[in-house]
Amino acid sequence: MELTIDNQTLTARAGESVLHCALRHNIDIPHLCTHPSLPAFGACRMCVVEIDGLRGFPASCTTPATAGMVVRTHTAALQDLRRGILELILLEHPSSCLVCEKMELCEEFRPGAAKAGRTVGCHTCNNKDGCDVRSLSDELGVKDLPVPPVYRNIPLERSDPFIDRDLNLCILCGRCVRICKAHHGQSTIDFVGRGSQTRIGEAFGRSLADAGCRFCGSCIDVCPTGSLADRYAKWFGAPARYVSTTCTLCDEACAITVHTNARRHAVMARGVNTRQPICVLGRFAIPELLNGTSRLKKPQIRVGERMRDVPWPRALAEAAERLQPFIGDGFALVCDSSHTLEDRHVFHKFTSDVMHSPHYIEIRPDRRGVSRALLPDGVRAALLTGDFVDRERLERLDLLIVQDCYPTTASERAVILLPVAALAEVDGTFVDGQGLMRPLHQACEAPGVARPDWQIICELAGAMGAPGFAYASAKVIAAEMKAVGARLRLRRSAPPLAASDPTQRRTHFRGHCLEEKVSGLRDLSVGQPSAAVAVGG
Amino acid sequence: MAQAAKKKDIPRQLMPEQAPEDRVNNFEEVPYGFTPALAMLEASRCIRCKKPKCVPACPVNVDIPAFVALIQEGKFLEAARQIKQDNALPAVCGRVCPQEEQCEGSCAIGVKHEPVAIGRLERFAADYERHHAAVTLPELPPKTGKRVAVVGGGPAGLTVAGDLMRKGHYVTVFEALQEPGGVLMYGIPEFRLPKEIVRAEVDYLRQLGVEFVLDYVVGRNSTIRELLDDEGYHAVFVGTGAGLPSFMEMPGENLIGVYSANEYLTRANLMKAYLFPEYDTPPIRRQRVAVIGGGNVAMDSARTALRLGGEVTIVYRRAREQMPARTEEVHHAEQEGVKFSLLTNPTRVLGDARHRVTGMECIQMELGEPDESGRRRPVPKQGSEFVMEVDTVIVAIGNKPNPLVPRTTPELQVTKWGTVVTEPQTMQTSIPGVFAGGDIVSGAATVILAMGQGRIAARAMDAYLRGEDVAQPH
Amino acid sequence: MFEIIKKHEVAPNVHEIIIRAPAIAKKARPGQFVIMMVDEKSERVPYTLADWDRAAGTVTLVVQEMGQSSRKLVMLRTGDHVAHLVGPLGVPLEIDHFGTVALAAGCYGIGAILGIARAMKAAGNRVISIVEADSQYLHYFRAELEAASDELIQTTIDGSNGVKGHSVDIVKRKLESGESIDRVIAVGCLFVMMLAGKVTKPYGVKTFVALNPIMLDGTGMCGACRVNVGGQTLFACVDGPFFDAHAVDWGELRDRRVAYSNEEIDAVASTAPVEHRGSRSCMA
Repeated sequence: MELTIDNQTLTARAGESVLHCALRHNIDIPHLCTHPSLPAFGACRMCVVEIDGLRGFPASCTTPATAGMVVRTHTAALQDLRRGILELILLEHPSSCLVCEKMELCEEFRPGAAKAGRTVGCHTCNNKDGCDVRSLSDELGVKDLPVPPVYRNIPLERSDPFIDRDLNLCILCGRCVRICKAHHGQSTIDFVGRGSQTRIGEAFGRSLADAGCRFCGSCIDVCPTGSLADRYAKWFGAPARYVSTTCTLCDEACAITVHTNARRHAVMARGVNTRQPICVLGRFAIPELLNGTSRLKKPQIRVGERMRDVPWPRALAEAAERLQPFIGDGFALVCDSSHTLEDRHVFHKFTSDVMHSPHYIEIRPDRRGVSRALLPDGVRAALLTGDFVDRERLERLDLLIVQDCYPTTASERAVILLPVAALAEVDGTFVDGQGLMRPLHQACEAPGVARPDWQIICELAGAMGAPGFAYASAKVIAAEMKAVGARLRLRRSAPPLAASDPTQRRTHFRGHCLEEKVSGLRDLSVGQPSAAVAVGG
Repeated sequence: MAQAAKKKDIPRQLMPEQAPEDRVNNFEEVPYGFTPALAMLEASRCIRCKKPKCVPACPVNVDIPAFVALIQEGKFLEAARQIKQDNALPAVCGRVCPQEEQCEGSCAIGVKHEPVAIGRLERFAADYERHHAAVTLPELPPKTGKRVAVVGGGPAGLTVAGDLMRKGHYVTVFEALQEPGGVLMYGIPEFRLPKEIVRAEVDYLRQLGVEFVLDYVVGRNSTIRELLDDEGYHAVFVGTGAGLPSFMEMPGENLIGVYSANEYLTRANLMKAYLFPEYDTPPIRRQRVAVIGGGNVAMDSARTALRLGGEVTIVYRRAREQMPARTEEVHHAEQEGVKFSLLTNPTRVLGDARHRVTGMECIQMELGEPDESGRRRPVPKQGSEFVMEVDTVIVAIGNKPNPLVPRTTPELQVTKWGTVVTEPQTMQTSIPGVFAGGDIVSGAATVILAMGQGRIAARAMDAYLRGEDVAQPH
Repeated sequence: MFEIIKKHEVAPNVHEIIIRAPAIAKKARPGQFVIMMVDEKSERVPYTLADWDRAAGTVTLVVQEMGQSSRKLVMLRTGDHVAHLVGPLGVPLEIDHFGTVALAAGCYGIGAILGIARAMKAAGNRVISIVEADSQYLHYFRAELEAASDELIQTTIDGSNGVKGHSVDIVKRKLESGESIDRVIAVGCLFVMMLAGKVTKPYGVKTFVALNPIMLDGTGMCGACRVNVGGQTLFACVDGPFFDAHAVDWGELRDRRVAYSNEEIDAVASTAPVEHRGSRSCMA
C-alpha cells in the first residue's frame, strides 16, 4: 500500500509499522526502545510522529501503516517533544559530558580507552562509540540538562563471567528483558523494584548463572548504553572490521559475525541472525581462545632437551626427512571431524598417497567435544592435529609430529611442533551435524606464522616430493572435492541446545579443555549430559 | 718442567653454551657452565707461578692459585669458601667480570696459549656451592655495637655490607627499588646474570644479619646528616651508583619509541616485562630496533631486544676496535644476529603525527686525528646522511651519577661531573664518617670495580669505627 | 608491606585510600607523590600524595579506577596490604607567601590539592580552591577543602549545582574582572591542566601544573617520564611533577601517555569475573 511520509510517497508492506516503513526508506525517526530483533513495545515515546487525522503524537512503532496515511516525522513540535523525553532519560544517566561545550576538545586529549571501573561520563564509557543516548542527544541538539542527573550509586555487577553490568547507566528501556524473553521464553532478568527504585535485576539478587542465564549475550547486543557490556571486548572501541563466518566449536555450526580491531585480532563474536541466540561458546569464547598468550606461534624442532624455533622451510624439511622411513603402515595420522572438509581431504590424501598408510584416523568427538583415539598396533610414527591420544601410548612412538593451536601433553613429546591457524583465522568448508556444508571466512590473523592445517600438510607433501598437493587456497580444494554451495546457517528451527542450557555445552575443542583457555568458563558449571533435546521450539 | 710442558698441551676447555638459534628465544643463561670433570681438567692447566700475576690484577685480590688448586683436587666447596674470603659475590663476578682485562689478561699461560679460564672456574665453584645448598656462614666476631648505614643495595653496597657484618658491626642497607641488587637486578639481563643468583647472594647477607630496608630513598626519607645525627648510625657508605641516563639531545628524542637503555632494561630485567601479561609491566616489543652505543649496556639492550622479537642494529659512531664492550658480549651479540652499523652517528629521530618513531637519520663517520683519550676521533663524512627505518631507538650512550644524595647533602664534595670526591686509599668523602664507592665515585664502570672500592671502603670504615684516624680527601 | 588503614569510595569511581607508611608521612611535602606496586608482579604506578598525618604515620591517596593497576588497588580492602610504596618523590611545590593563590582541580585532583591548599594557607596566602566535576554527585572533600581554603567554589559541567562550567572558567572570570591572583596551581586531567595554562597566559599569572606522564622507576633513573617544558627535556619524577603550564608541550605529553594503549586494553580484556560475589567494591 502507499502512504506519504515527509512529503514522499512510499510503499508499505502489509502489517508493517510506520516506523519500520520509514526506517526501510532511510527516513531516520529517532527511536530507543525499538530494536530490529524485537517486536514493538511503545515504551520510550521517542518515535512519536504527527499523522493527519490522528490526535496527539502517536508512537510510530506501534502504529500500523495504512493506505493514504500522511505522516510528518521531524516537525519542530516533535523535536521539542523528543528532546523533553530524552532529557527525562538523561536524568538518570551520567549525562554531563553531553552538555559540555568543550566535549570535542576534551576527547582529543583523551585518545586512549578509559578502562574505568565506574562510568561517570562519556569520557569513561565503554560504549562511547556506539551509544544510542549519545547519538540521539547529538541529533536532537541537547545543550542543557534542566534537571540535574541523579546518580543512583548502584553497586557494579562484575562477579559474573563474561558480562559486566553497570546499572547506573541503565535507562530502563527494557530491551534486555524483552530479548531474553523472546529468545528463551523465560527472562533471566526483569524489572525489579518500583518507581524511582526500579532497576533491572535477577529475582532474589542471585548471580546470573544461578538465575538461569544462558550467557547468549543478546542483552548486551541490544543495550543502547554502556550498561551491559561484553567484558572482553568492552574497551576495544568500535571494531575495524566485521566478517561473517561459521563457528566450529561444535557441530551446530552457527553463523557468527566476528568483530576485529585494527591489529586484526578478534575482539567479539555474535550470531548473524539476531533473532535467535547462540550459545556461550560462540558468543564469548572465541576471542579469548584465539588471543591466548600461550598460542603456538612458530614452528619448532626438538634439539637435545629444548624446542628450537625454526622457519617453516626448515621445519617442513625436517618433518619430511623424518617421515620417510615410516612410509607404510607404521604411520598414523589422527584428527577429528571438527576439521574442515579441506583439511580432512588433504589429511586423508596425505596418509594414503604420500605415507601409503591405511591409518587415517578421524575421530568423531563426543557431545562434549572430547576426542580420544587409540593408535593401532604397529604404529611407530604419528602426526596428531590435537590432544587426541593418551600420553602413555605416545611414549611408544619413535616419531611424533604435532600440529596444533596450543601446547599439550602430546606436544611435549613431539620432535616437531607446527603452529596452526584455526576457527576464525581460516577459510574453508565445515560440515555441520546434519551433514550440510557451512562456509568459513577468515576474519582475523593467526598469531606469529601459524598456518591453516591443510596448508601445512600440503607443504609437507611438497617437501616429500609428492605431486598433487599444490593447492593455492582452500577454495581450490573445495572445487576439487566438488564441495560447493556451502551457506551460512542463518535460519534454524530452534536455537542450539547449549544456547538454551549452557551446562550442555561442549567442553573441548581439538582435544583442548576450553575452560583452561577461556577463563570465564571456569565459573559456569557443566551439568550432567541430558538427552539431546533442543528446547525453545 | 715436564709438568709445565704437559699442562701447556691441554687446551683451554670450552664452556658448553646454548646455540645462538636457541638462545634468541629465551632469557636463560647462554653458558651452561662447566661440569666437575671439565672444571678439574681446566684447573689442572694452572702452572702455580711463584709470583702469580693474576692476583694483583684482580680488583679484590682473590687468591686465585689457591682456589684453582682446590678445584683441581675436586674440593669444590672449599674452593668456593676460599674465593669468598676476598670476593663476596663470586657467582656474579664469574659471570660479569671482564676477566680478559683482569686476571686472565695477566695469566702467564696466556702469553703463548689461552689463559686459564679463571672466571669460569670461579663461576663453577660458586654455582656448585649454591646448587648443593652448602653455603656456610662464617663465625662472626663479637658485636662491636657500631651501626653502619649503606645507601644503595648495588654491588658496592652489598660488598661493604658483607665485609662490615663479618667484622661484627651492625649493617642496614637502604634500597630505593623494591629489590636489592642495583644494576645486578635492573641492568644486567637474566641471560647474563640470572636474578635467582643475585637473590641468593642477598639472602646470604640477610642470613649473616644484614638488615635490608626497601622502598627507602636516602635523600628523601632521610638525609645523610639525619642518618648520622638522628638515627644513630656511626658511619655511612654511599653506593648510589650512576643511574641517570644520558640522552643524545638530538631532535625527536621524546618520540614514542625512544628509550634510555635503563628504561628498556629495567622493564625487561627488574619488572620482568618479557613475562607480560603474567607480570603487569608492558615490554617494548617492536620490529625494528636501533641501539645507539658500543658498550656492554648497548650489547645487553640489543640482545634483549632480539629476544623480544625484533631486528636489531647497533649504531656506533666509532670503529669496531674502539667499542668499549667486552669482546665476549660483542661476539655473543653477533652470533645471535645483531647487526652492526659502525662509524655511524645518529642525528635526528623522525616521527609521525602522533609522535611515534618512524625512522632515524644518521650520518656516516670516518676516523680522523686522535683525541685526548688517544682514540682516533670520528668525523662526519659530508653528504653521507641516510635514514634508518626503525620504530624503536634505545639510547645506550652512558649513565651519569645519581644526583639525589649530592643534592641533599650540601657538605658532600662532588666533582663537576657529579661524582663524589673520595680519598683513594680509604674512600672517605669530605664528611667524616661518610664513605663512598662504586659508580657514584668512578662514574659508570664495572661491577668488580665497584666491589673493589667497596672492599677498600669497608676496611677504612672498620678502622674508623674502631676509633682510628682515617684519611679524607684534601 | 604497607597496610591499608582505611579505604572507601568518596565519589563514583574515586577512592580515598589511607595507608600506613611512617617513613613517607614523616617527609611528605605538598606536590610530591609516591610510587606503588600493589603486588610483586605489578607495575610501578605514581599517585599524588593528597594528604598525610605525620603523627599517625599515614598517607592519603585519592585514586580513580582507570585500568589494570588501579583496579588491583581498588579491589583491596581495609586491612589488606600493598607490596611496595616509595616516596615522597618529586620536587615539593614551592610554598611561599605569594598573595592570592588559586587552585584549580578536577577528578583525582580535587583530593590531590588538599595538602597544597593547607600549606599555601599556612604560608599566609589567600587560598581560592576551585574544583570541578561533571555533575554535583561527583564532588567530594567539600568540608576538608573548605577548612583548608579561604574560598571554595565547586563547579559542574552540567550546572547541577548552579555553577556551570570548568574550574578554569572561574579563574578566567576572576582575572577578567580584575581580581588579583598571584599564582595558579592546577591538578587533574591533562585537558584541565592545559586549559589552566591557556587561560592564565595572557594575564602573565604564574601557573604550575602536575604533569602525569607514564613512569617506571620514579627515582630518575630511566627517563620514561620525559616531558618537554620550554623546549627542554626534563624528568617529571625528579625535576617535577609540577611544571610551568605556559611552557609545556601538551601534544607530546598527550601522545606519550597512550604509548601502551594496546597493552593496557589487552590487560583488562578477560572473560573472568573482575571481582567475586561478596566482595563488591561500591559506595559505602
